[in-house]
Amino acid sequence: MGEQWTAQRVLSLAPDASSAKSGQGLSSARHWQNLGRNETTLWGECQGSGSKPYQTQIDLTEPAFKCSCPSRKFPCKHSLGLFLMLAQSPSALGPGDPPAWVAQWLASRAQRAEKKAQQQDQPEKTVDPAAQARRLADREKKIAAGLEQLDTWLSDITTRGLAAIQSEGYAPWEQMAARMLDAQAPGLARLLREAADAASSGTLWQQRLLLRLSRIHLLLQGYKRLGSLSEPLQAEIRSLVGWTQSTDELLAQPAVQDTWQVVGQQVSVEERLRVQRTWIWGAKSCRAGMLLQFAHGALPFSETILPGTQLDAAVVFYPGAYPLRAMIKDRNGATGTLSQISGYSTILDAISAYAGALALSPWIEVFPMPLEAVSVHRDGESWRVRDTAGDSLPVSPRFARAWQMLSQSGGHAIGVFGQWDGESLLPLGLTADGQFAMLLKE
Amino acid sequence: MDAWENILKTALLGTGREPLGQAECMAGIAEAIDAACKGVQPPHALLHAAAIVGTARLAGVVPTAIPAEQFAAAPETTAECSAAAAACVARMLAGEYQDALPECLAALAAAGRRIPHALLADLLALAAQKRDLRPLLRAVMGQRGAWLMKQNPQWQFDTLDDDATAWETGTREMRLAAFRRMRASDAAAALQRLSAAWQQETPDDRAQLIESLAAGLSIADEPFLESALDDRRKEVRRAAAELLMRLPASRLVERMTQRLHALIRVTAMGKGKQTVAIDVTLPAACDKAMLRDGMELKPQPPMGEKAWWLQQIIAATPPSALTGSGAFAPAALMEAAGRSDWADAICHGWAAAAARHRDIQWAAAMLAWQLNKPVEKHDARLIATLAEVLPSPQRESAVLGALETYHLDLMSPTVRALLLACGTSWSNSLSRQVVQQLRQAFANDNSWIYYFREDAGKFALRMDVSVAPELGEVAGADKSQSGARAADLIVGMVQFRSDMLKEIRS
Repeated sequence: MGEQWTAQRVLSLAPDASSAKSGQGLSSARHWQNLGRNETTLWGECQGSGSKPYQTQIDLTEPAFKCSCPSRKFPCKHSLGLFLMLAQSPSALGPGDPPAWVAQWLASRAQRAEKKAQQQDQPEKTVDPAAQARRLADREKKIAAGLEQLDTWLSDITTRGLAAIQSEGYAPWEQMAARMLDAQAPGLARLLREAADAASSGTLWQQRLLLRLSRIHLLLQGYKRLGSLSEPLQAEIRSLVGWTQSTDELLAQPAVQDTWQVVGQQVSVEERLRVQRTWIWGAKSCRAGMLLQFAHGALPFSETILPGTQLDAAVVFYPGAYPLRAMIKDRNGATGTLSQISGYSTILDAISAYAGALALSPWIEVFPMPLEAVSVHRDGESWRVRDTAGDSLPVSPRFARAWQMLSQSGGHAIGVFGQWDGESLLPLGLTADGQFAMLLKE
Repeated sequence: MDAWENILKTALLGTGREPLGQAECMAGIAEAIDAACKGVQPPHALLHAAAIVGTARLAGVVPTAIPAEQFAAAPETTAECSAAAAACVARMLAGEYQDALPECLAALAAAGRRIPHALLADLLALAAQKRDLRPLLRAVMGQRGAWLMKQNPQWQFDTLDDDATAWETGTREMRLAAFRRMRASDAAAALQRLSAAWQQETPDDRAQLIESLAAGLSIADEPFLESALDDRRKEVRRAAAELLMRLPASRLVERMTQRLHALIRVTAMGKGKQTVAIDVTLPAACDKAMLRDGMELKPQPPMGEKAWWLQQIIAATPPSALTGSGAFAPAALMEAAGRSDWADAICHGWAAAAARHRDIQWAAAMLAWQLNKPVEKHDARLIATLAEVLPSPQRESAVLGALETYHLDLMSPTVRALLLACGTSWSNSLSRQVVQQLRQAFANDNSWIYYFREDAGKFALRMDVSVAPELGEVAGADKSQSGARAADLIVGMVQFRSDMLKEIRS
């Protein structure tokens, strides 16, 4: 198990860049005493600024960390340092029996795991169906009222003209978004905030704002006639408004078993919540999935999913008109490495797939585009990717690692995975010479 | 006007102003818009039409065709370095232990390995800021690096093309690098090329090119350099004069020697030529000929003008010019000079002359003279210049000698200057001596090391990496905060270099 941990994998667990750097600084044996390991656990004592050294231990099976230092970050820099030592200089960790303080921790972990298993075996608490039905009905009423308000507001804006609302700044959007939150329709709050961002996005703001408003309009009208729409479309609209899917219902869906390539990942921060979006591509099923994980503050994400790997897994998709959001149901077997991105062989194929997706769900904002073979071209300050047929797409001006991408292409064709937003492609990962490289820095 | 433009215009002004009008659009879309707008309020009609046409536009994007790339990178001929070595390079490029990068690149070149493609862009971007990395790129960048350089105007430092092509067609940096290589392989041919192209070179290029003649400098370069003394640009004249001063047989040095003999007379007193007397006259003026020969008119205060000119004249002539055929010992001359009114000018002049003409005997003598002075009177820079003239083993014993004989330690600027003059890689014995010194210093009071952490960083780059374990022990003993940080600097760097070199050479 320990053999699979490379420095890159360990550093991906760091809550932020400064922890990663401090962790590196503590990864050489001279800062540590009483280092040791057995099959499943690492331990060591690290001299800090206090009088007593900190006791750090790692259970590799999850991995789980425990350190006696007062840091709130998780995993702390001592844990990262210890873990890096395993990856970079494993000979520093001699085999041995865990000392008392490690054995204690392992014992209490085993106890907790047993308790949890016992709890899961017990029958579930019954939910009062009548109360639940009332709650749902209440929510539907609130949402309906909120959407009426939004509809009126939207008509008002359209009557006065977009030029007028754009000059009023952020405030009116924020107000309306807050009302949507009160109406228990968080999805619409998000769409309103994004429309506000579009209004202040510089050149082309007019097109972007109009498109977003038109999509909100479609959503509102669709919600009013929900009953008359197909099941997948209903699911899509409800999800966009802000209804969530229960995990149990989701897991009951048919799973798609495949070798899933992990081709891209992005972490964004929304207030104190970190959101990790990971893209996967099924090699046989030729479809994309988007995994979302959330973590508060500096806590780690519950699952480690590394770009550049391949998972043999059963994946379930959230119901929708064009299902993209997914969840891993079963992960079996070892994780392989991704040596060549598979996906669309030409840009026209990719664009056609995008068009097909839009036909099913006009609300798609980012479309996953794995391009099997494209070369990288520079045109002054802007960049493009070109397929073997000669067609090209623009690369997003936000993309900061174009030269790195060019270097790995060398004028030859490489595999690139990117997000297409209707205007440009944002590359997240590439494969060249049989190796994967991540393209987005946090 | 097409459908989208029409909708956009109406949306911006507002349907209150004017409801959505007709416009040209594709069949199918027009029908859809009509159906959507039937019996619906104007704002809803507009938004719905916008949804239809907007989505259709996104779905209907037509990718632009562009021509294929002119040429791709050639296949690599050298092997990539190991993953572990690449990880070290990546850490340095990210800012950790970055000063060790030159050593790393040189080691990779010696091992016949190249930098992985994924790291090339970051390396070239760094080299755009740090000039000292540029000469090291050619050996480790591989075909991909050469190709990548050609793509970015800011990265055109060098090329894998042959030198003649680079000289004819390259950027300024490429030409300079190519010229240096040509000069290294055939000095005379390089000089010929330079003379042939001289008239067309820009003044900036001339200054840099003429400095490159320092490598392989010989009396054959003298006629060219002598004519360069009349160049319009000061940097070119200065560079030419500097080089001529290093050639004892040049006309410039002859002129300077004549001036020297007119100003200074050395006579033996008593028997055995042990004691000498120096008779010094200050130069009356600094005329055009002297300026042409590279002299500076204005001194740095508090030195007086004429003393400054005297110093320069002395500095331009080989020390042996005064001693004739070694008739007088340096020590005796210095003692006599010390009694003169212009001791400072004379001695500093001699020291500069010893350095310029690489006169080992004189440099050693002057170094001893400096070290003999009380510590506050040491001129650290002068000491470093003199030490650099000595060959490596002699240099190190001078340092070790200074540590013992003069009871100096790492705290004194003299010792630090001497250590830094000992070249870019220290012998094992010198490294261990310094580790001992550090051990003592840490045992006594370690906070001082924080104040010269910059020098500490440079020491860490020069130490023989095999002393890493000993060094680890030394630092482990120290507990204080600022000391701990400074210790980490040195120890961390040496350990990192040790690991890095091990990865590269394995």
